[in-house]
Amino acid sequence: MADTAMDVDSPPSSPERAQKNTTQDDTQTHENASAVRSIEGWIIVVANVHEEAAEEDFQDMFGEYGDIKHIHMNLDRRTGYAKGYVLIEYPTLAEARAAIEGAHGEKLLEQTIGVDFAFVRPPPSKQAGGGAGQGRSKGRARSRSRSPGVRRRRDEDSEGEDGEVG
Amino acid sequence: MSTPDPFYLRYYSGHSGRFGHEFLEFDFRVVGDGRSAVARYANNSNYRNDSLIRKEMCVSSLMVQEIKKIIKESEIMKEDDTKWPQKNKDGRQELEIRLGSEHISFETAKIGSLVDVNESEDPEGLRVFYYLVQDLKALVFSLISLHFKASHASTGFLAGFLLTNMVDQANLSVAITDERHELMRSFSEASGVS
Repeated sequence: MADTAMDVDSPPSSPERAQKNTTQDDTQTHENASAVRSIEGWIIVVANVHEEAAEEDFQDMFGEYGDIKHIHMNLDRRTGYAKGYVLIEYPTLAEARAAIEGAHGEKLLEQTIGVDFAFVRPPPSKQAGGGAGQGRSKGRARSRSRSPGVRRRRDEDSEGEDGEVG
Repeated sequence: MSTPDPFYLRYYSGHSGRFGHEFLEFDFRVVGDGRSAVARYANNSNYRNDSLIRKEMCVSSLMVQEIKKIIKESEIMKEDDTKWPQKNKDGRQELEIRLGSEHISFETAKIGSLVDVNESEDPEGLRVFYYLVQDLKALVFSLISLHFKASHASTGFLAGFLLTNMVDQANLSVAITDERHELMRSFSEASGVS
């Protein structure tokens, strides 16, 4: 754990700086989305978790990559066994990145786990595309009222010229 | 990977009563390339002038896959709500899921406990719904707690569960409501989202 901490490029007390110092690649998920920081750190999700796994298994395995601040291992309400996913919070991006690279595809109780960031930046294309129910008439109304405003001025100008000519 | 299945999930639980329309609602809607999803959460209680709490976050592809897996494994898509208890003055629950080519939109009364499930006309089906809803709520509360709430101790998380119960069952003690009040206050302070 001490070794991992030494690899971290900034003191744990300044996660903001760690964020700035790291390259964009560090926030990239397996599906090329861009991870975002949560209020107190970086959250990763561990998927395909064996139902008999216990929280200690994750303390042991993921403590290797950094200083775990919180673990949420929710249980199946019906069976009482692990539901299948675990959320882990690290203070710094470097620790979260190390956990993703180190543990993704590894085996835990004979099951291959998937590890990635839990939260990402919404894709930018969404806004322009205006998906289901997104295209509010408000937006349209605004652009409509704006462009006639611009055009009217030009029209007035040209009308003015016309007027002068006529 | 291949083109992801269409996916949408929405859950609502609410009632209108002494404190107006009080409800809890969340949904997951895939965005962009269809892999990540925007999750929205709303909780309205008018008790002691509490106001509407809204949260929005975007979860990763792996998170979406895990939610889909929970839904598939529950086999909720094979159920039918025709024999489930009708909504009543205590409120209603709604669950809408679109997963691939399948779509369900269920409505039923609030469920206080497993007794209500066992006494219903379709205990097997309603049990699937009952446990799935609890598992989904636990997931959403974990996501919100980790993403928005500063110094979220495990007690705060517990309060989150109490909060759900409060919304589910209209008549809980004031002590629990107070806890919820504190929890929500810390939520609002943490994120500044109104």
